[in-house]
Amino acid sequence: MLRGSAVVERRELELAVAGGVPPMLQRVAMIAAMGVPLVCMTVLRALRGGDVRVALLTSAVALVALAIGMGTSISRRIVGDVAERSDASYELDEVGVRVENASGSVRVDWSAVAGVYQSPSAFLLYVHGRSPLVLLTRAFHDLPSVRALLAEKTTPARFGPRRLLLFGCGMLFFFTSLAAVFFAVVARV
Amino acid sequence: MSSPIAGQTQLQEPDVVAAWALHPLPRVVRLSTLLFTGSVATHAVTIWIRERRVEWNSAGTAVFGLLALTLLLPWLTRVAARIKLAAEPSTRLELELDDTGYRAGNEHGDTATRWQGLEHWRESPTAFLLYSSRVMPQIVPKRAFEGEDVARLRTLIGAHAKLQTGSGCLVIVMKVLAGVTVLSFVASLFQLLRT
Repeated sequence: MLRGSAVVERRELELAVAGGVPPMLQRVAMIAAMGVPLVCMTVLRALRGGDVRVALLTSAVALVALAIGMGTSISRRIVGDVAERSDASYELDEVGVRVENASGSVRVDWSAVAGVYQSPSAFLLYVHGRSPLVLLTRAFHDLPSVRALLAEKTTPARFGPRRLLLFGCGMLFFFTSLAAVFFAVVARV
Repeated sequence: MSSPIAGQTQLQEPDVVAAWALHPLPRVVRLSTLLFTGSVATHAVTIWIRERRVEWNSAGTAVFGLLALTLLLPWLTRVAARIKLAAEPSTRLELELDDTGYRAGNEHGDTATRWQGLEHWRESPTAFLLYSSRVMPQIVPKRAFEGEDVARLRTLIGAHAKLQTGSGCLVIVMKVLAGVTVLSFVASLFQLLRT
């Protein structure tokens, strides 16, 4: 059995689940994904000689709503309301993995792990039906054995947290662009 | 210490759909669609009353929005729930709650959460939703428990975490916007009728 333990800071967990993207940058990325199409819509309406008041009002309200909604970053939502610093311990064996921290414990068989993403600072174990398990690499003395066990028992995750974040921003950008094109080009409001 | 409350059931599609229905994000998507549909419908109706002609861009978009609200979004939710359940190695759910916390598991693993790890909880007609993170709640279907145990559960959970019945800032903002759209629709109709 491979064991590891460490004092974990909440910020470490937040960075790990977001692939190292700081919470402020997550907020900025989401707001930009929505803001850019809305600004383009307003400019386009102005260039086409349309009334920009409706566009400005819609953009302002949408961005304020998003800014309020993004008051809590995505990574904080995933990590939950954990303590600033807490003890965590990890156990990995042939059957599965067990994580214990101040909030409780999680034990999953390898069959329930959908994929593993490895970064220099952490392993992210994506488990069906729950938030990813974070195993900090610095908690393990025998890191090569941990890597070998994970490689044997699990498959690499198809999408890392950065790609998922990018995908979320892309979806927001796409749907906002659709609405923006409608208001800028089609609707004669 | 009171005796633990235990139950077991199979997680089903309606459980997941009901849990998502309470989540702020799908509510924002529904309200945004409602708001957008309301806006273009208002525009289409106003043009029709003023000029007695159909403004097809807005009318078509409003019809699409209505279809999205009534058919597309509920269908997508059911499909997503089906995909989620199909990805689970097991839909069996064993639950146990006591004074220290709650445990949910099946033959592939289990999660034991102390009450201090629970941020808040919500209640739907069919389930309790326990949020240790804000992304994925632990679904506790009420049918897994005997009649009296459901009331005991509510008391037990309520004693350790905050019941969240509100919608969150974003949903409230969207509700206000939807209300303003409806008011503007009524106001424009009233003005048209007066002239």
